[in-house]
Amino acid sequence: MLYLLGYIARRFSQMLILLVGISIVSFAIMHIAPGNPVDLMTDRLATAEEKARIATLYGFDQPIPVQYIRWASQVIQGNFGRSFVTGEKVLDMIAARLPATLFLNFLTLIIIYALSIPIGIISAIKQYSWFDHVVTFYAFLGQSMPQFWLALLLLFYVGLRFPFIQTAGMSSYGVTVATEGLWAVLVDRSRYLILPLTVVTFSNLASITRYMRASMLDVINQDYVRTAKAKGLAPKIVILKHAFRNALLPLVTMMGFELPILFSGSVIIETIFAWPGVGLLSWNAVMQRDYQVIMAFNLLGASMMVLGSFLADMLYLVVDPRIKYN
Amino acid sequence: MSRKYIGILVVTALLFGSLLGSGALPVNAAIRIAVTIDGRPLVTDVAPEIRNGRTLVPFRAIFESLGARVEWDERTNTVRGTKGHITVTLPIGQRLAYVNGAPVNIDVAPQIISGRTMVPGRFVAETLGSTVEWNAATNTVAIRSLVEPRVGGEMVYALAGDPTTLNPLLSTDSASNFVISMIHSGLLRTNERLEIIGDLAEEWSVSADNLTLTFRIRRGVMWHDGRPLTAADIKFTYDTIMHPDYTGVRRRDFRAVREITTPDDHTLVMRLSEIDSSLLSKLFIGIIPRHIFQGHPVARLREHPNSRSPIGTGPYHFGSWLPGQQVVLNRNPNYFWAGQEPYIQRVRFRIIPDTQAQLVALEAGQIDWMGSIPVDDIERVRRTHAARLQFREVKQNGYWYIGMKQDHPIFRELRVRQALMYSLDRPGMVQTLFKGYGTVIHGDKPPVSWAHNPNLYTYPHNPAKARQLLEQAGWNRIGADGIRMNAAGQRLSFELISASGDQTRENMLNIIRNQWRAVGVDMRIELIEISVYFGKLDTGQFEIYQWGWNLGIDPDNFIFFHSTSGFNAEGVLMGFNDVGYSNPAVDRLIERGRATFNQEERRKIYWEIQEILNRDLPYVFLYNRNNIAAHVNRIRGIVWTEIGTTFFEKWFIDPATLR
Repeated sequence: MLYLLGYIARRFSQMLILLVGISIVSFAIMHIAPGNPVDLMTDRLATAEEKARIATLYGFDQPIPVQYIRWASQVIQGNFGRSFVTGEKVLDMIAARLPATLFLNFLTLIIIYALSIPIGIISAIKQYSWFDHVVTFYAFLGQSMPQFWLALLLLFYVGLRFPFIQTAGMSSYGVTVATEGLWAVLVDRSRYLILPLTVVTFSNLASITRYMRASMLDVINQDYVRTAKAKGLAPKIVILKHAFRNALLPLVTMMGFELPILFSGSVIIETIFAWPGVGLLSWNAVMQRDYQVIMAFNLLGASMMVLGSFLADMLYLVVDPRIKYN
Repeated sequence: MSRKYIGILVVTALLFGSLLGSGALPVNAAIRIAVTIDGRPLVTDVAPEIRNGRTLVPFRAIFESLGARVEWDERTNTVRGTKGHITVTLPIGQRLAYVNGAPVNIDVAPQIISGRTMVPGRFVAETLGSTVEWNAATNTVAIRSLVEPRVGGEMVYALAGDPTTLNPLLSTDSASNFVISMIHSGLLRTNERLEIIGDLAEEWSVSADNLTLTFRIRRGVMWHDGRPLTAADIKFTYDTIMHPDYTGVRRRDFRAVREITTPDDHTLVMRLSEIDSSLLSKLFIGIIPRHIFQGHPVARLREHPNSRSPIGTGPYHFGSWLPGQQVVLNRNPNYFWAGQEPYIQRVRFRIIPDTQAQLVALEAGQIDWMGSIPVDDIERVRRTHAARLQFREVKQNGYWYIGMKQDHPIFRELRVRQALMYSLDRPGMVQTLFKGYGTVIHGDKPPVSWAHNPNLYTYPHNPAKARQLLEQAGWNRIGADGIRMNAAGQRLSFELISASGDQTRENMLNIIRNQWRAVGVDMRIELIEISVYFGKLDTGQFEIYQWGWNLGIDPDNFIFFHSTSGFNAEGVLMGFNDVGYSNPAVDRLIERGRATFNQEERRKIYWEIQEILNRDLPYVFLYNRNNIAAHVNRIRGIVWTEIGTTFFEKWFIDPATLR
């Protein structure tokens, strides 16, 4: 047990170093990239002196390493600064939009797993069956179809046709638990969820389904499954008890890698369905050279990435007794 | 292919077929004019008819459905309708009507058709105080009767993005400006004819030397937090803009202001260091409360909490703001303007980034207003939503152009610039690109400007003339690739730069390239990310570029065409004259245009400038694009200007739809 704790501590210190490295690299790239916030803030006619004055006010006149250290020391104290564009605290901006992103992504993940696992299993067991072909076809259709195109199709041909479906935003004005009750809120939110959820699920279904199918195919051809069949166990029990649990192993560990995905917004979905998530915020920040916001997102993304891979390793440990840490 | 795959394809085809099939549109039957009154069809035994472009309707039906009493005087062969204090008299067969006894000329005489007396519908309805709209797509005359406005209701707008700030001193994007205009008042404003009138200023005067402006500030104006507004607030606002630490874009607007004083709470005096008549149009900017922003560092103005939850003096209070979702404003019952407080209880701005998604939201009834219907959807939406929506063409106060470096070896020759104009079919482009919703421009003032000169030469599409001019200019050899060459063997070839990310612009540039190629001119198009693009313009790294201007209502064009607005001796761009246009006559006229507040005098000056620019061609003047705005029938009393809307406090929601 102590050994495990030591391992975790070691991993964490590695993660920290990695994060510092990532932040230095992204800070540098951001500053080297063409365009800067002063140009976007002032009008095109601002003189060099006016621009220099504003650069001084915001500390852009300092060498990049000095700016980095200044930024990093603020971040260590939990201060991510303020947006140059809106003047808001960066953390407030992200906090206002993260719930929508997490909400949509979390539901999508649940639905994707809930659909992919059974579909993948059936496809594997009934390999090359009618079902397998149809599912495979649609899974790949979903993956290869441009998301914006599917989104627009749904918008026009489903959203416009059924008044129950709301096409933009995530909630109706004034519908809260306090005013309308929990049930009304649930109904209201689902009216807005249907379309974005459908698009994200449809376009991401393929990978997990194929993964599950492959994993299951792998397992049902193993000796121990053949043995189970040979000793006369019911096919249902062979599949559910012996094959399924082992086929699930690689899938469980994949969940670790879903962590960064959970925190990332989709610009396409947020644009077309007016979903108030973090995707557009980070996109606009890049377009407007809003350094503080860009850096906050870089750090968030990087943290989730390293944390996710750590989580995946930990999950391996938990689910697969053959793996030992060292 | 196995049967299984065929099965899958059939399933897919059926699935998508059923989705797509619903888009089919009904085919219009024979043309029949329908008249609706407040959305309900007007039932008549004889169908309305069009004569000389005017719709004639049976007189009894129209008068009575508008709530007027009708009389028929057989002796004088006259129809008379009375509603309230308005009496309309229409003698049959005469193109003359009488409103309360006063004669009015009308386009079409009342006449007897199929045994019914028919009268011009629009004239009758408008005289009785109704509004009339003709929808060509559905052949419908929509009459809306005069109703008493009532307080209440909600209106939902769509915005393409969150406002970046609600501080009028810092806002630059249209979403912010739009919301701010409802919350804040300026010292001056424009009315429905785009004339400058007082807003917080009751009246103003200009000294004889044009160097002192004195404003009398309206009394009894309250901030939304209940504090009274005084001249000190206005001085504070302008001083903040002129502060060296100010990080916004408006300091240059006040460059002529030397000093602002407030002799008393309701007088503001501005002393100028030079005469600048364009200053008045800069005073539309929203005033911010001194008692809230005082003491806060100017450099950090953006970060003040009030820059996001503002307090103004305008017709609407700031309510709430959910980032990425919506901004809510509530009516200000203490609004000062002309004793008129707003009617609409709540205005909600929903943030919907995608234009197509906005359109769907409009069609599905989730929003009440859309400022610009996408060009390709206009006809369909007009047809399918004729009963629910009203449409209006809103003009653009600006224009698109191609800027040519004036000292460039190719473009310094006037005949080449003329040839580039003649070779373009600009009206055709307006048709192709904007379905005709646009105007071809021949000078630097769009038709909506009071300084627009309507008599400019129009450079009609004439490729033969373009070829001739190019030959005269020395480009008289044609290479194997069809591109012209001069005696020195140089090809008539150049690179145009513009900003990437706009499909309409790309289409437009491709058309231009083809039309120029047709006369032997080779243009390569280079689209660049916008901030890099501006960098190139501002440092003169281009041969020719395409861009557009959105203009203010003042015609001053110093920064565009005065020679000192070009690159100075150190190569720094001083204004937007990046093409390096220089004409001493224009310089003098521009200076004179700024030096007087007399509009008639200025109009003459700008007419002359336009004539010279039309001859000199520093730009290939292209066109501007008009927007089709749409709104639900429920919204009434809208005050339109040629370029948008105003006086939001006068709008109301149809009382019949209010609970």
